[in-house]
Amino acid sequence: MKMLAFLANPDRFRRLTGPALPVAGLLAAGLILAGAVWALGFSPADRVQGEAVKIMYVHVPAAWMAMAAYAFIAVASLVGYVWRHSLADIAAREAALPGFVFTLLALVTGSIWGRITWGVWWDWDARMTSMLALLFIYAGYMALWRAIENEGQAARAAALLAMVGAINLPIIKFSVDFWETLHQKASVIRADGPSMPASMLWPLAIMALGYTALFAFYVMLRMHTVILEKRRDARARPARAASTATISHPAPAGPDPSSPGQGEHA
Amino acid sequence: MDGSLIGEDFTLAITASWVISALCLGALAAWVTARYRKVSGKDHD
Repeated sequence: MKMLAFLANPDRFRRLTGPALPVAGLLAAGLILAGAVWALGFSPADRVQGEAVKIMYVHVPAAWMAMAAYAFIAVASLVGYVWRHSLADIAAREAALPGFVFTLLALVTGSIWGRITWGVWWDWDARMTSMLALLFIYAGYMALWRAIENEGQAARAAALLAMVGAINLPIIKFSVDFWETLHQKASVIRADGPSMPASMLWPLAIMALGYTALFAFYVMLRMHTVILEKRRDARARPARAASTATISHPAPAGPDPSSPGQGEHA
Repeated sequence: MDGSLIGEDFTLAITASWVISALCLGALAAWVTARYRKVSGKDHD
């Protein structure tokens, strides 16, 4: 609770996360580059699907991040809703676009992978359908923020949607266990441990870490941007108020003070 | 899955997946960076 209150101050948040920004960016670039070289150049082909397995190294991290980003949004929304933590609301809102992009990438790369291994671009099985639902939930969440003009009301409405939509995460995760699906069952995060050899697991883990660092970079940078925009807008408000006062008390002689070029424009 | 796919050429599919991923994530990174630079530049005025 004290940590939440500590981070609620925007300037303190910027001071604390400022140094982390370039680190996250460089880490993301380095890990993704290293993971790509390892995955494409040195990881083995699969004994059944051959070289097609190379798509796994962009598809799986994207799918993981699609879900992780939504979990982040759901938790941040809970914090914002319960404790009225405005930075938590901003964090949730700014995580939505990266989460949407990761979900879209998981669906697109998964579709390509499915075409070459299953012979179909799409199947309405539980995993793919629940991931598509996640994409729609992201889109609806972002639209809800934009639809309500009052930021406080928008935050509360969006938070409710985010928290309710979180039910989709266990559905996605366990869809391959609950239902008979075309999508394969889990081979990494399993009760018995990963069924994947280390030569594949390591580059996959590096790519996943790189995607995580990239998500952190996106969200922190967007939060910094929003904080600076709000500060800029707050400074502009007294200047607009002063010019509005001039218009409502015009001088007795001289040019018409309500002519264009003077005072606030809509 | 019908049979083994060992030896088949999937270069186009693999390349497309990686290029699409790189372009989308790169474009998002460029956009967030550009928005930050725009507002932080004005902030210093």
